Amino acid sequence: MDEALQALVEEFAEAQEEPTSRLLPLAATEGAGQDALVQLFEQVIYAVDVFSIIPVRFHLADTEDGGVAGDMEVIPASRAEIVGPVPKGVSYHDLSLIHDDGTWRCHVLIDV
Amino acid sequence: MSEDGLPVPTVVEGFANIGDDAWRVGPTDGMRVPAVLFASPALLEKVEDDAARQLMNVASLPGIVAAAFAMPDVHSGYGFPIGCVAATDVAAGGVISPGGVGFDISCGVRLIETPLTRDDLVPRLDTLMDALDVTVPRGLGRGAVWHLDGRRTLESVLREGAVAAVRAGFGDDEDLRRCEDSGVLSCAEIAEVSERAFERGLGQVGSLGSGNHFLEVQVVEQVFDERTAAAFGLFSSQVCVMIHCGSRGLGHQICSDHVRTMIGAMARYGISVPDRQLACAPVDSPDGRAYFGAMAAAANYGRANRQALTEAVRRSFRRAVGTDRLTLCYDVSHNLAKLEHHEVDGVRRLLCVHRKGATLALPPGHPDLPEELRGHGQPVLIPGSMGSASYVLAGVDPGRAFSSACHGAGRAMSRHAAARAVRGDTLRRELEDAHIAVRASSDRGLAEEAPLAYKDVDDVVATCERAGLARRIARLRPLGVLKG
Repeated sequence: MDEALQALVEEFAEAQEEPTSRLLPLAATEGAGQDALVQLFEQVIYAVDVFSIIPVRFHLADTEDGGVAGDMEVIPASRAEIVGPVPKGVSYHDLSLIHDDGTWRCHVLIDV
Repeated sequence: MSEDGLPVPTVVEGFANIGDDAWRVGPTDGMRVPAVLFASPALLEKVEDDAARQLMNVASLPGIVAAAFAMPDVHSGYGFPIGCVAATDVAAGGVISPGGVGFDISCGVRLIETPLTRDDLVPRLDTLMDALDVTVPRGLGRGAVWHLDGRRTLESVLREGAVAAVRAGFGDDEDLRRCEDSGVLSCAEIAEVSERAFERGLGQVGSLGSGNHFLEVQVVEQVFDERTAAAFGLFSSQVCVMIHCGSRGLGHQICSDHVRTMIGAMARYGISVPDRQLACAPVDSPDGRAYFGAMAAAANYGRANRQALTEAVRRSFRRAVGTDRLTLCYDVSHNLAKLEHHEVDGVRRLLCVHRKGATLALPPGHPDLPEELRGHGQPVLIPGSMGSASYVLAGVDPGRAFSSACHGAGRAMSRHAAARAVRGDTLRRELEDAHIAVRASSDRGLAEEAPLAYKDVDDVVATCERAGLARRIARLRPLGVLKG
């Protein structure tokens, strides 16, 4: 999940080397599969839009009730280089999260 | 290719020509009505299998009537293809689907007219583009033209759309006369708008966004119908400004919220769909009504957004060129569902007409048109790809697909493929070599919007005309492009 969220950010912003000063929470209640992925992506998109931040690192872990939770280190958007269109929504179309031969692979369509 | 090396037929090869650049398949395999595609032979070859299958899936929606229509600029989307018109019979349990409207509710186009000619502007073009660069917020964290003072003002925007913006000093009543629906849908229900949507909407009224949204300074290059062009306020060599944007984060949030609700609710209505993004509920149901009311609120937001941006354009022209006598040709939406009466099989019915990447094109004589346009048909604004032409069309009588037309050139290539094929900095230079001034926030964003990523807008628009969807009035080309 962390890597999927990182990939989302890398599509539109470069900020990995920046020191972070803030943490924002993340949580998915819809299990740990593709719907959880959608929930997490939507939370990131919401935070980017409302707080004008760019996530730099994600820290997620499974919860006892079968969900996923954690937080993300963020910086103000003004300190990042915007390199692509900003994500606005997550589509269920062709959504997949597959565990195949020891590797996780996901396919998510993001509206910009 | 198949395993034995033979070419596999494309999905559109199963469509039969029914004349006038129209192609049809079905109903078969669960489709309730045929799928009808408007395309020239050249455009037909570019219709992806995914887009054709999505169109056929749309034809299976409960209550759909006549056909699932694809416009000449159709391409694959999420659930519904983009460039699709689908109408459902409300009284017969017909459904409404957020996916049939799109994430960016009431994404649309506005064309602003100036008294200037190209020769008047060219010496001041860079100054104007610099002024627009500063006054038109776009991209992440750049603010908005209208700084709302709180939730109550946002509520008024959601209820009253462009009317609220005019009342707050962004433009005047004359602008509203040239807006689809006079700039406001009266059926908005703000109780159906989530807190997250409110939060996302608070800081973005009067902002362009990014992606395929843009502001272009254009010149009228060719007029096809002088009389109608004059009625629309257009003349040869005239400088115009085209704005393409929508309801921003608020609209996206509303779509996401209600798709999720409908995914959970469909089973209660006995509905199943082949793609979750097609999630839907009967129009006349609590979930259907909830989405419709929220969608109308987002549509009002989109109209207010473009109204506030118009004022930024006026300020820029005043500063750079010394005039703010800018008037509105028209403002259209191309992602919306509307309740309309149409005759189907000889019976007048109330339909929920979804237009996703398709534009309403009211015919001449329609009572919803302002008096000076009624003899000509509704202006239909078609943005081309960046650097290529845009068009003004007019609705025709009788029209087809419930009085609908295309909305743009239509993507021919994914964003990733375009970014691999084109360097943004190279494209920027090419545009500037073609005397098109560019102000863009990112080179990648520019590359993804390269002309080669889109279909031929001239072919799309000519097909609209041949197919009887709309007729050409004027062709415009860009002088300057502003992108997020």
